[in-house]
Amino acid sequence: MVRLVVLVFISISALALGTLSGCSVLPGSSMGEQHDPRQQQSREEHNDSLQNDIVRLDEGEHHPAVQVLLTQAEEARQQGQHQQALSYLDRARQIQPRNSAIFYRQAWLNYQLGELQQAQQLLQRATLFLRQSVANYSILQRRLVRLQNKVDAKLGFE
Amino acid sequence: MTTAKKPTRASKSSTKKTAVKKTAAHKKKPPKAAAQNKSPRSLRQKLWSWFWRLSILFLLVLGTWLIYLDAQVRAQFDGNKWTLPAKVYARPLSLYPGLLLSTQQLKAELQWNDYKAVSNVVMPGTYGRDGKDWIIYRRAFSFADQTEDAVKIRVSFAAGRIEQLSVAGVSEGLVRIEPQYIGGIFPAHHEDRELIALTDVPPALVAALIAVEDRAFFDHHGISIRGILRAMKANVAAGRTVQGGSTLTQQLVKNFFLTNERSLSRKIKEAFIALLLELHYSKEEIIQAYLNEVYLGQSGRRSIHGIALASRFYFAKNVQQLDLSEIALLVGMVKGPSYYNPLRKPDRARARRDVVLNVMAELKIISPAQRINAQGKAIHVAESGRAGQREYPAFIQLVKRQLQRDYRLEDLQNTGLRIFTTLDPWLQHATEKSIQQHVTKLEKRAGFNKPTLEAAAVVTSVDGAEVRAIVGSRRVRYFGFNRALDAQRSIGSLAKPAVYLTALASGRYDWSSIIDDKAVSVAGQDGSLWQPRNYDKKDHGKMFMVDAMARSLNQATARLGMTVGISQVVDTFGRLGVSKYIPPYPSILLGSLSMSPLEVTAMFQTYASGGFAMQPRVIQALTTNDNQILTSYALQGRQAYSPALIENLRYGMQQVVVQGTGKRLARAFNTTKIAAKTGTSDEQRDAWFAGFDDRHLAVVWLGRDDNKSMPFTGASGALPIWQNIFKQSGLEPLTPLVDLDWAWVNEYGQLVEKNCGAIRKMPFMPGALAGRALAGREISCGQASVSGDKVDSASHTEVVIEDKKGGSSWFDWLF
Repeated sequence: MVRLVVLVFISISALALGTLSGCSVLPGSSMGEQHDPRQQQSREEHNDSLQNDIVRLDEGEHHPAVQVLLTQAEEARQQGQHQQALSYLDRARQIQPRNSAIFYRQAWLNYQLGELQQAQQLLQRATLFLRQSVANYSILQRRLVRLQNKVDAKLGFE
Repeated sequence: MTTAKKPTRASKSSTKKTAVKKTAAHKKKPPKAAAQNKSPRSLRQKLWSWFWRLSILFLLVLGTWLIYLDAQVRAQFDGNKWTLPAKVYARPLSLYPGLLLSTQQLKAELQWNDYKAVSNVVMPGTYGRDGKDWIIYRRAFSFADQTEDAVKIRVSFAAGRIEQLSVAGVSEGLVRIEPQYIGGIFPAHHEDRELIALTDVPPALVAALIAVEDRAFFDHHGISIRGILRAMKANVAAGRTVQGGSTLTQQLVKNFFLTNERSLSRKIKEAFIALLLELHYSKEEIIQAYLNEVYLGQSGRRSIHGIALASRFYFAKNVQQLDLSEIALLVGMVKGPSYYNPLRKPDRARARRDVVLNVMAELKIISPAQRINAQGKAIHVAESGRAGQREYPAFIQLVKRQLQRDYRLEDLQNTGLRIFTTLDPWLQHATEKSIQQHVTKLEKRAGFNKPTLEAAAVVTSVDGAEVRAIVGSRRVRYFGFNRALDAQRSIGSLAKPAVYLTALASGRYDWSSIIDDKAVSVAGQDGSLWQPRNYDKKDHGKMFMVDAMARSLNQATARLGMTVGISQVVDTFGRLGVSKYIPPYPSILLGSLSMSPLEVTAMFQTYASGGFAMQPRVIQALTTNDNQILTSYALQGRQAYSPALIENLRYGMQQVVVQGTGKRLARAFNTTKIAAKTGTSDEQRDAWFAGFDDRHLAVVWLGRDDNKSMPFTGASGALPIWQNIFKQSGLEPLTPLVDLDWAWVNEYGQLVEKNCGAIRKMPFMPGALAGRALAGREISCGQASVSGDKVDSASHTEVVIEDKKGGSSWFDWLF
C-alpha cells in the first residue's frame, strides 16, 4: 500500500514537472565517416597505353565466371573505384587461383595506387602462372615485362 | 534560511537519498505538531511555513533530478540504442558453370544457411527441385562489395559439376548465395540480438504481447494505476505473486536503463523514466524498442535478445514466417524465458502457449478456429546444436586474434561491424567429422577405455593461404583450449623438408645425390652426445637423397643437415615463415622444436603456394554497419624461394606418397600427385600429417594433452584423418609449378642413357643439365665409375605409380 501511495504521489508531481524537463537535450553521438585512405590516395590518371591493353585482355577466352568479374572490375576501375575493382579481382582469383591475367590486373591496380611492394609480389605470381596455352599470351607477357620495368624503376627511386 | 541552500547543493550529487530523507522528514512533522499544541497559532504557522518551504525545496530537487534523468534517458534512447555484436560470416558459396559441387554439399550449405526445402519455391530463403534441376530463392544480401537482390536461381548438374546456371530466367556466369552467419563477436557483454522494425513484425505478435503483458498499453502514460490495482487484487486472491503490475514501458525501462536490483528506489526511478519515455516517444517507438530489447533465452554464454533473433534461434525462421502457435510461444516466453524454454521444457512451454492463444481468442485477435488449429500443433523447435547458428569456436577465436592484430580498437568498437571470413563450412564439416570419427576409432584400437586422445587440424587454400577450416579439439563445439592455435608440440619429421630444401638450395645436392644413412653421433657443447636412430632401429646404408626423404630416415637426414650446416637450416625455417627463435642445436634437424598446428601450416604454406611465404589469414573484408569497407585484404606474401626450387622439393614430398610413409594415399586416391610429410615426435607423443593437393593444404595433429606416448605414428594416427578430409572435399591432383629437367641416373647417381645401367629417372633444376652444375657426372655407356658412392642394392625402390589420369587436370580445362 505504501508503494502505491508513493507511486501516486510521484506520478502526480512528475506530470506537473514533466513538461519542464522537455527542453534538455544532449547532443547525440555521431559516428565519424569512414574513408579508406587508399581511395583518396593517388587518383592520378595515368593516360598510359597500358590501359588499352587491359581492355584487350578481357577479350581473351576466360572462364565465364571470371569473365563476369573481370568486366565488373573494369567498369569499377573506369569509374575510379579502385577498391571495388580490387575486390572483384580478388573474387576472380578465388575462382581461378592461378590465372596470370588476374594477377596482372591486380598488380597493375596496385601499381596505380602506389602499392609497389604489393604490385611486385603480384607480378611475380602473374609471371609464375603465365602459360603459353593462355589466350593473349604474347600481349600478356609483353605487359608483364613492361609493368615489371615500371615497378622496378619506382622501387629503385625509393 | 541559510541552511536551505546546502541540501540543494548536496542533492545534486545524491538526489535519491535527499528525496527519501525529505519524505521521511515531513512525515514526522504532524505528530510533533500535535504534541506541542500549547501556542497553536504561531506554532502551526511556523510548521506550515516550514512544510511549504520543504515542499518547494523538495519539488525543486525533484525537478532538477528529473531534468538530469530526462537528459540521460533521451541520450540513451535516441540513436544507437544497442551496441550490436560484430557479425561474422563464412565465405559465400559462389556458383558458376564448371564448379565441382556435390548436391550433398549444396543441400547441406543451404540448410545450414536456414533455407527451407519446399515443393513450390516462391519465397526467398527456400529451395526445391525441379526434375534434376535445383531451384534456389536466394535472399537479398549486402555483401562486402555490393548489395544484391533476392533472386531465383536455377542450377543444373552434370557429372558432379554445375552445368548450367540461370538467374531469374537468364543464363548467368556467376552467382553467389549469401554467406552463412557463423557467430557474433561481443565487445563487452554477451548480449546477442538482431534488430527489427515494428513494420516488419506480424501484427498478431504485437497484439498478443499487449494482450498478455499490458492490456492498457495504449491508454496509460507509462505506469498504470489500474494495472497495479488489478495485479494487487490477483496477488491477494492467490496469496502469492502471480501478476506483475508493470506496464510494457516499465519492463522496457527496467531492462534497458536499470539493473535487476529489487528495491523501492529502483522502482521509483523506473516509474519516472517510464513517464518520461512516454512523454517523448510514441507508443510505436516504445513497443519497437521493447521487441528488440526483450530477453528470450540463453545459449551458453550468449544471451538471446529481441524477437528477431529469438525466432531465428528457436525456430530457424524470420519473424515474418512465424505461425500463430510460434508467435504465442514466443510471447508466452517473455514471462520466464528459462522456465518456459521450449527446448528444455516443451510441456510447460506448450501450456503457456495455449494460455496465450486463449487470451488472443478471448480478445478476438484470432478466431476460435485459428485458436483450435494453433493449439493442436506440436512444439517444433530448431534442432538443438543447430539452434539457429552453427558454432565454430576454434575459427572464431582465430578471427578475434587477427582482428586484434590488424585493426585499431576504435574500429572494432564500431557498432554493427560485419566480418567476412574465409571459412568454408563444407570443409569445416568434413574436418570436424574426420577428427571425431577417427579419434574414437583409434582409441578403440589402442584399447583406451576413456577419451585420451586429442586432435587439431588446419585447412587452408594453397594459393591464397585462406583458412578454410580449423578444429582445435575433438570436442569441436568446445570454447576452451584451442590446440590448433595454442598447443606447442614437437614437430618431429615435419622439419625434414626444410633440411632437404636447404640442401637443394645450396646447389650442391640434387635428389639423385647419394647420402649415407650410417649411424651418427654428434657431440654437443656440453659434452653430451646426440645419437639419433631410425624409427626401425636399422641402418639403411647409402641411398639416393630422395629415398631418405621419402622414407623419413633420421640418420641420413641428420648427416645431411650437419653437412649443409645447422645455421643454414635455421635460416631456412625463418625464410619459410617461422617467426619464433629456433636454437641452432643439431636436434632441430629432426624436429625437436615445438610449434602449433597453425605455425606448421604457415611453414608448409610456402611449399604449397610455390614459394610465397604467407601467414594463414581468416578475414576477407570488414565493413561498418552502413556498409563502408574498412579494409579488404588482398593477397599478400613475399617470394621466399623460386618456384623451380619449390617444385624440385615437391618432387621429394610426392615421393613420400609414391614410395614412402604416405604410400597409403596413392592407393586411396589413385594418384601420386599429392605432396606430403608424416611426422612423429620422440616416443610417439605427437603424430602429424601435413600435405597438399592442388587446392588445399591440411595439417593434422594427434596427441595427448598430458604429453604421454601413444601407439600411433604420423602415418597410422594423423594420415587417416587427412585422408578422410580430402575424401569428403574431393582431391585435385597437383599440377607442376614449372617444368623440371629429367634425366636417368645409374646406381652411382651418374647421368646415363636409359638402357645403360640406368635405374631411376630423376628431376633436376631447369637448366642444370645443360649448365656446368652437373659437368663431369654425365658418362657414356660402359664407363660407369666404380670408385664413387653407390646406392646399396637393398635400398632400391622401384615403386613408380604412373598417374592414371594423365597430365591434363581440371585446371587446364578452365583456361
